[in-house]
Amino acid sequence: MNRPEPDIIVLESHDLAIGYPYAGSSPLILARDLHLTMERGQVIGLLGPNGSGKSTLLRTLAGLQPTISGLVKVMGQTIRSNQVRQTARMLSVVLTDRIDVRNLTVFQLVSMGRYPYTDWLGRAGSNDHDRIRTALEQVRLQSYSNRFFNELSDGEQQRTLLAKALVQDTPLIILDEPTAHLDLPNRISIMRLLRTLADETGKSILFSTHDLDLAIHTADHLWLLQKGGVLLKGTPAELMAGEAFENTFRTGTDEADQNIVSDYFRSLKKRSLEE
Amino acid sequence: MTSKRSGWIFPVLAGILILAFLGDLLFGSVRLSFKDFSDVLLGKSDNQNMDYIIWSLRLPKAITAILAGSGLALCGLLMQTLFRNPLAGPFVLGISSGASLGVALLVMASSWFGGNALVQALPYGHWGMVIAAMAGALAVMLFVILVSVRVADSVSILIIGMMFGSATGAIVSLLQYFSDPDTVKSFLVWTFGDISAVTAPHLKLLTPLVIAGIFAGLILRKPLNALLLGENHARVIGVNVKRSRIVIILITSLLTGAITAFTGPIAFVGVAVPHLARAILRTSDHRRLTPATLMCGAIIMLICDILAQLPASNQVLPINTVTAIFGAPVVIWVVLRNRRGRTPVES
Repeated sequence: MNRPEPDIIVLESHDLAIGYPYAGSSPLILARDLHLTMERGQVIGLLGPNGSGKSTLLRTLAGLQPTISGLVKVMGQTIRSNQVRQTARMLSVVLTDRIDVRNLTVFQLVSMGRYPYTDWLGRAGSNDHDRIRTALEQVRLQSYSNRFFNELSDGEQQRTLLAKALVQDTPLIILDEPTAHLDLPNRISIMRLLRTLADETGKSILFSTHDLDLAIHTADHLWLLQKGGVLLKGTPAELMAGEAFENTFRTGTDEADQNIVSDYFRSLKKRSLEE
Repeated sequence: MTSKRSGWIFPVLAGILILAFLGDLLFGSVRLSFKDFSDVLLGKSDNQNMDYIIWSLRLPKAITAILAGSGLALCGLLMQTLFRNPLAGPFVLGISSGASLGVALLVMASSWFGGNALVQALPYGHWGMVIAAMAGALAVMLFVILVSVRVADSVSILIIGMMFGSATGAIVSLLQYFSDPDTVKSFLVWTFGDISAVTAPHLKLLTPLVIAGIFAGLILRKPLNALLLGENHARVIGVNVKRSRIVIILITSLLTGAITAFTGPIAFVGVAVPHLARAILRTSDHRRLTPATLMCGAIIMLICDILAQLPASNQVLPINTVTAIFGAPVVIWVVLRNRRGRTPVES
């Protein structure tokens, strides 16, 4: 992996607290004092049990919801949740919200990623067309331009949304569970695609997932978000060396469940060492 | 990328629109020969009655049909896209209920205070009705906009709008319950919708309002396309969802309120025409869908108005019944035919 200029900081957060403010009462805080950084071309996987606040963290970093305190910067510029236009030029987001539109082609959907750059009618110029074609090639959907989005498989839909994020031309792409609802071959294909895109384009990619195995093999760094708001950072190898995974995921109260989780990580580590 | 069908659709729609417009001028309770008709249009007629019928009665009515049809259809499209609900129409925000409350209050209150004489003295379509309807629509509109500034999601606005519509409708029912049959009838006639009540002086106010609304709707096409994906997806590509939502609601209330005030509540067109336009164009892209919806709305209203004259007597059917009875089967047919004929792959 030869990533150029790895020292450029793309994403950083300072004293960040995430959660939900409630009018009149104290806010629900899921995590606080988060100091996160992401370098150019880096792939980071965000892991954690359900309810630990992965989506909340991603949404806050993406400016989709306000911070409780602290701030988030992309390329040195502060992300504010009320400045959607500026944010859309700094980072793109692939969401899990289902898109249910009939008669919308793959090309039309991907061209939506050019929204921050097109004229008042949203017409794609020849420069936009080139970018859209390139993005479709990058996600290997070049022959899908005229297919209707709602008639694609889940894996193809996910790749289309990734192409939309690519044409948005941002240094950072954030994906919320890009492998959810996908079968194994598609999960592997999406993860490899993320890795390749980061290496070839120098974009920084942050994704959340429950596919521990795949994340370990794809990401440069992992962020493990525990219930209670502790966030552990490190390379997959560093985190595998200790008990980080066990501590993050052994959340159930049932002892048998906890033992199975421990066994799972033991075998995962063994397999990683053998490779 | 763009469909090959788009090339000829707009010229064809424009042709049909012109034919329907001329047809609406030609047909009516007084039969005109084609020669009389062309004479009047070319200014060669010396028959003052004919001149009066065409220029003072039928022309304002045809223009009203175009304004009401295209305006309501546009509102339906805006609401369907904003709420991502195919059943939404211009009236989901309760605007028309507000207008009917205004009219009901005027008609029934005047019958209590001034006896029936006052109601009789209010000719149908009179400015009093218009002002009452506008006041009612405006009151609901202000309420809905106040709500949409505060509420964070569209679904809540939809629910609140519908609740407000139901409550207003119930008050109207109460008013009817306590009124005498004659008064109720003059209110009911208003609810049937009538585009022939709109005269040239009315048009001086209605036309600029509708044109302004349509213009604003055409400007909104880019954010509307983004909103198709859902509000979160729209946000991440840079759409200020809240501001777009308020502007969309403002335009819809203004158009629906103005049109309903002059013509009474015209149902069906607003909900059905956007589906018709989608089926014809096979696209959800507002850049083409919006103009097509405007044209289809105008065409449908003109044709419905022609059909309303068909009994060929002095009786003219209420426009509301015609739009639904003749329009519904057409839309069902188009939607079904289109669904069967869909061929997804053409790469």
